Amino acid sequence: MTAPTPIKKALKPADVEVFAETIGHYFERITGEKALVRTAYLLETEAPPQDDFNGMIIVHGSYQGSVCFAAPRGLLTHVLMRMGQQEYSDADHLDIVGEIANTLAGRARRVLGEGLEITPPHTYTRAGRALPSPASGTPLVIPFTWQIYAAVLVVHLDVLG
Amino acid sequence: MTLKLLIVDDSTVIRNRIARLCQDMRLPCLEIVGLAGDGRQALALAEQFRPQLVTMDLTMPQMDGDECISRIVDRLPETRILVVSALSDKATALKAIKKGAQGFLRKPFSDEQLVESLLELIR
Amino acid sequence: MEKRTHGWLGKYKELLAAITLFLVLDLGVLVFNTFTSHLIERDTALINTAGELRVYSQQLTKSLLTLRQEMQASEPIQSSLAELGEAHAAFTSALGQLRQAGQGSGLWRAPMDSSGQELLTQLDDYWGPIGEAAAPLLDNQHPAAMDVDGAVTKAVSRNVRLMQLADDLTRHLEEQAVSRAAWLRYIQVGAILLATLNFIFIVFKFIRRLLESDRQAESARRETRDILDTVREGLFLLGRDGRIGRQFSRSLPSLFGLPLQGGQPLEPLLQELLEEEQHEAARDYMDLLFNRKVKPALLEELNPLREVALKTQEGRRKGPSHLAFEFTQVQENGEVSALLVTVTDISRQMQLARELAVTEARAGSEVESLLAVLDQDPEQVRDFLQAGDTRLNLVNQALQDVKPDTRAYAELINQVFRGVHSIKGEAGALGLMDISAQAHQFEDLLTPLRRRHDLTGDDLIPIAFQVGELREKLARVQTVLARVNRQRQTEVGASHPFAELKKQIEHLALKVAEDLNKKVRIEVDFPSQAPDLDERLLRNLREMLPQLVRNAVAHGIEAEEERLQAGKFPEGTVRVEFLPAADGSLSLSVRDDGRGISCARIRARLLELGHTPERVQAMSEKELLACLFTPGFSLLEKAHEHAGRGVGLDLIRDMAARAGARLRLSTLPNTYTQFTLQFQPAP
Repeated sequence: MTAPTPIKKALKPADVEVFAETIGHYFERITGEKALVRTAYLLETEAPPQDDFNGMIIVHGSYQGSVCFAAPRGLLTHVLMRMGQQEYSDADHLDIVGEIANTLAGRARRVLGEGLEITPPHTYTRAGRALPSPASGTPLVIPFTWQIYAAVLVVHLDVLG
Repeated sequence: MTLKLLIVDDSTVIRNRIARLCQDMRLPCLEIVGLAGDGRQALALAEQFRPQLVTMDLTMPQMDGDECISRIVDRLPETRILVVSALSDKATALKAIKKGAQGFLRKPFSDEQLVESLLELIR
Repeated sequence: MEKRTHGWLGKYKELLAAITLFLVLDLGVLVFNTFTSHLIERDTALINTAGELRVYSQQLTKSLLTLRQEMQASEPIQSSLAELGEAHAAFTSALGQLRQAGQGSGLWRAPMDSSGQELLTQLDDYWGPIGEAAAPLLDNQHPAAMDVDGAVTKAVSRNVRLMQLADDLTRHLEEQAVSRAAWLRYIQVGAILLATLNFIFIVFKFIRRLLESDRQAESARRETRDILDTVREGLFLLGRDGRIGRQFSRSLPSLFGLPLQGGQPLEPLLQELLEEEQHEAARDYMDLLFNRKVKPALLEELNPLREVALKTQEGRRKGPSHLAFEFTQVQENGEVSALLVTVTDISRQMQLARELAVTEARAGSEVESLLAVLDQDPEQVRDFLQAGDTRLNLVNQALQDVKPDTRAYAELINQVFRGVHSIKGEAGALGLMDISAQAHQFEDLLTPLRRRHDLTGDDLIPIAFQVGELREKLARVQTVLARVNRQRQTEVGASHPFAELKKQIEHLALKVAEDLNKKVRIEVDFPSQAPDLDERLLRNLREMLPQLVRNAVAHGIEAEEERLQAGKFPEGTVRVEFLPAADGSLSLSVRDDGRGISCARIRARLLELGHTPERVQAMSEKELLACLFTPGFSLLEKAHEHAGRGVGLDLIRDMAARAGARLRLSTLPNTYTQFTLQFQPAP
């Protein structure tokens, strides 16, 4: 069946689930314990949720927008510890949140299309600023829990035909 | 003789529409004694006013229409109940009829369909 | 019943008559036999009697001769006299009997024929003189010799002839008896023959009739068989015992994709074919068909299997993907004795319909839906959009606040379902088919989730998506409506923007209260003489005020019971005040007389979120309240279904900041919460 190709298609749940899975597995691989999706909701505010450390990638191409992972210090410290790090400076934390964002980018390219243009991760602390997202729709927030900690993944993507 | 009618629906829009239709259309024999937004309210109003007719939504907060029908039938066996519900509720509607509702009106409905269903119920 | 007996009698009337005739004939033969044996007996008696005449005549002659000889020899004569008397009496009596038989009449005394009569008369004539001559000798102990001589002469001269006559009569009677017996036998044989014929007639008739009805039944069976073998639909009768009838159409097993046997119960088959929910509905429905007095039109409407998707069972079962079941009640004596079930393969139609629906949905329905807005009462559509928006916001809020456990997820899904279901119903009522279709799709997503007990957060991702889709649909209608309204307003002359805003938030407050089953009174105090507000400020008000009011109702005002326990009126009050100050600044406050915000609870939540106790304890009240405005912070109050004060407060803070307004919060636990927005005068 051939449907008229719309200029802007809706993002599919499966597209987002890919990112959620990536986060879940990342934690499982590093710490042996999966980060669990608590829920998903539409972002009502203009400012996306930020945490102590944030890692974000900007995507251009057939998909356009941003994917951002924000986590509290404690959670990332745990990850550093499990990786055998001895030092827990801000820079180390930014590193690790950047790596998670990088993992998201790699996964995005594999699943959403090799032709995607993805920026290197932009990391920032609570005091920093997010980059403006080139997407126009409503961002989707996916909160995670890992032990007592809470982190969020914000997916803000448009699909271009 | 006027018949007392209780309208039960969790949607204000639908509730008002039924009420307006009963007032506007050729149904002067009906007197609306209450509008309920959930099963609990419906039961309370039914016990207070003892209506002869009830229009009943099935998917509602607090107490489902299903349960509400059982209780109304239990307490007011003379009361006739018209289930007003969407097609996806067919299984639920069946249960409702089994529990003692007399009619079923599928949402969305036209003005005429509602009047017809109510008249059918009165007959 | 009576009619049926009558018909039955009618059908077998001929046979009955034949059998009756047969019995009558048999009975007749029996009676006739008795009669015949009687006749033969009588004839025999007569023949004997006639034969005896000869003996008696001889005896009489002999006794007369002996008497004469004894008298001549002067011997005693007593014994010969007695012999004479006996012979005389016997002859007279036998003759009398014969004469009587000759004259007799009636059924049992067939008259002697004429030649017999004649013989009898001759006999009588011949006997007369002998009898007369012998008469003086009887009863006389000393008869005269002359009398004896006279009697002897008469007897001797007539004896031979008399004996001959007796012989003739005997022979004649014998002949007559033989011929009569022959006749009787002919009649008997005839009657038996008739009875036999009759019997044969009955047998033939009966067998022919049996064969005929067998043939008819067989041909009817063959016709049914032919029909059942050739129809594409699955046809069968379902008995009250829930079993499939012995005969069903050949296509049925292939429609079900399952082997089938007559007399098999339907229930397990349906269980194999249908999803649990539909299976249950089907059971309820058949129960209804068998047992309840429900109007046929309603029954048809309620049929849950009119279009039904079958379980795929991972491709193990071959056969159609969709079936249509139709049920017709078979009535007997006013009772439903069975259901005629027609099963049709509608896989193809369903596929076509789906394809068509998708194409149509893409091409037309959006425009249709938007156009439909124009036909509706704008007031109602606005109400619907607002209510829908509120519902979706509540859903999104609930999604945001949900606790990570399966029970909470299940509750959430149900809450979402109710919200979506309401939107669908209302959209349908207003002819907004695009929205109602979107909501329907949403329901389709939710339905299987409602059945599951192992929900995880991942399952909520598609739900959030659907919320977005639905919200977008609502927004589109909102846009059209706004344009239409603007046009109308320019036509009519703009109404006061405050009046509209007032109405809108009053409506919103009541709607949220209703959704949460709370009682709320809303007081909106706007200045009657509205200051000139610039468009930007008005827009900010329109955005923020509903958020604040919603928060006040949803999170500030307690449930009725809680209020009563706290010694308050059951009805909560939300007061919205808008005050222009002399210096040109404006203040907008939203105050509820609800539970207030407890610092203890914020502390507890902070601890839950992993903050150190030392740090939390050190925080001032002001700092604690400030936490409410941080993004993502939410107080998960377990007692409350729509938990999470602080929800949306960061949003309000953002909006206030953008509008250049100051946002203040004052609260007293169990007494009130007030948000005040202070707008600076425009430069």
